[in-house]
Amino acid sequence: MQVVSRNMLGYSGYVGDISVIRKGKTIKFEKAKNYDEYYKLTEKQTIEDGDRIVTGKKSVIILMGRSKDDKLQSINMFPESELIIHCKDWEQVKGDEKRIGQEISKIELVKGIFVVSPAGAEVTCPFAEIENADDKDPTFIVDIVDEFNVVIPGVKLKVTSRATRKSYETFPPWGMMGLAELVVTKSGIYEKSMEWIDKRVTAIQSATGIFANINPDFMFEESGMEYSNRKSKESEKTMEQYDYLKDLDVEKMKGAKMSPEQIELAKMTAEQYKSSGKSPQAFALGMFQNMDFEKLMNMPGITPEQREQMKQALPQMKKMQEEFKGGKGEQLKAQMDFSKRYMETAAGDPVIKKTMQKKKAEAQAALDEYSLPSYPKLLERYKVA
Amino acid sequence: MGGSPLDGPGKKGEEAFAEFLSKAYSEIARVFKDRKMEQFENMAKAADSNFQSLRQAAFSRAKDCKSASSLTEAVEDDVVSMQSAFIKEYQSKEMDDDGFFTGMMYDFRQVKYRLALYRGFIGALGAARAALEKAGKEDAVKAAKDAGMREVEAAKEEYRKYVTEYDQVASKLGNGDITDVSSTIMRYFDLSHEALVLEVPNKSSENPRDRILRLTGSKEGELSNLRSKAYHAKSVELEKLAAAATIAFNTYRGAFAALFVISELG
Repeated sequence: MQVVSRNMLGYSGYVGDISVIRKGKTIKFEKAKNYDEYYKLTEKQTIEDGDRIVTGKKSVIILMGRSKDDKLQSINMFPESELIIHCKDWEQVKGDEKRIGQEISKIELVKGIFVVSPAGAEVTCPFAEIENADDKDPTFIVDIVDEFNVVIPGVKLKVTSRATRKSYETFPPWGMMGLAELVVTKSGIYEKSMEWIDKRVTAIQSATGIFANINPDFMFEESGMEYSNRKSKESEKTMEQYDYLKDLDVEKMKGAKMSPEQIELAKMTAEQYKSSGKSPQAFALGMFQNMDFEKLMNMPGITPEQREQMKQALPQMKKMQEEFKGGKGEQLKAQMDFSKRYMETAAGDPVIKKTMQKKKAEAQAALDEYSLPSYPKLLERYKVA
Repeated sequence: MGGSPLDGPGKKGEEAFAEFLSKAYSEIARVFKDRKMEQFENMAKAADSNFQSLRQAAFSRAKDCKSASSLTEAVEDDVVSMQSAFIKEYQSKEMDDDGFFTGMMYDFRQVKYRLALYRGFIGALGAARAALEKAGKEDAVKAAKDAGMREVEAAKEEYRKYVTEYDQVASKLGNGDITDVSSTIMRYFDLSHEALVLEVPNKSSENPRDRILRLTGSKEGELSNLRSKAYHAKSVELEKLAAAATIAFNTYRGAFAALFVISELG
């Protein structure tokens, strides 16, 4: 069965000091200098079930998961925040294709500020439990300070006090975040809205949009599109090592006692190389479209185990090959060619570059100047539960 | 309707685009009703029923696409007159309600855009139907596809003409904020078209209207940005060009939606 997508728990970007505490050991995230390093680091700097994640000063990380029903889950952790994350594995089989992934099942917010899109995950904080009470999947902000927890809803939420077990449902005005706040203390729930919203909540709301831009494009000089374009050019360069295929000498091969199947394969490989325009994807597609799998199975050097595996896969391969020989193959070629040109255009787009630099500068300034006012004294008249 | 293989799927598409336009008329009628402006509410209703009575004729005569376009001209006049009458009324009564005025201008624009969508769709479909009838059995499908594509290409070039002109005028103004938007549309103009062409052979359960609106939604946003940049720059010339570009864009994407229907021929 073919695994067509993997949606593992991870992060879309980070900046500053990020620590993961796993089974008593602290793993400090390393700083990557560029995309190449970043992708290598993401292989070893993983997020796992039960991890305690801590952000330092001027540090932000955006954690990501995907639920089985294909909803994106995210937690944007602000500077000096801490949480414990729980996840569970899922798999989904459709025909002969399998999707696997990890969804966030529970988020224990310990301290700090978070923008949470749980898409079904359980969310708790020291004084409160937060549940969705709306048709839409919610995104909300939680600010945990010593004396209370503040929930800033985007849609209707049910907030329960862990101490009193009393619940309260919020109705944020016009479904907009930042126009209502629920304050949960050890003894009750308080609600403020509109002009009574605290200055700190407004400041958090402003920072939310800016910190959402913390992704690898923010972290490095080279943009993601430039990186992809560079990698594509590099892979074309590596194809050049097969340049000798252009001058394939069949007579010499016969002299070297190669089997007719081997010579045929070599000829076909050379033809595909010539028509691929040095694109590894076009080369691979051409090879697949023209491969004689039965002959390949009987090639010298193929082990009996390999032959058996190939025999089992043969009907499926032939079916796919037929599909790819027709219009589907041509369409795929056109799609690959298009994607390449699109990537080249986007990688050299001065407007994208300018916009990104502006966003980077904004996010950097927001991190450098990150400071929030304190909450005023909580007045009893705001008590709702 | 003469039994063209395009009639069934074509009619479904036509109905979807017509419903879309009708909704825009209904919205105008609703707002005027809420405002107790009965005369204007009736104008919106009359414009809709005028469109409804022309629809059948437009579809049956669509194989002569020039006739189809001229049929929609009459409906276009309705919205232009309604808009002018409303502006006059608003000014003469000194209504001083910016939200209401801006909202109505938005609604009138929606009618114009949706009419352009309808016109583009019916025009390209008509061209394909005519080609299908004219061609021999063997190359009929190819002829229909080519005819549809020619309509799309023509609409695309019209749309390109206005965006190019906008970009040139904006460049002369030297306002980078505006040229960022127009140069981006120009930069991706052919690529965006190619992306749509690549989408045509894919199977889809969506009706052609929803499919084209989904695929071109971000472009719609960019064009709306052209308009708002022109407005903030207080450039009447740019505003006019942005409006013309948006109408041309809608004709183009309406025509493109017909390609989805034509591709069902095989």
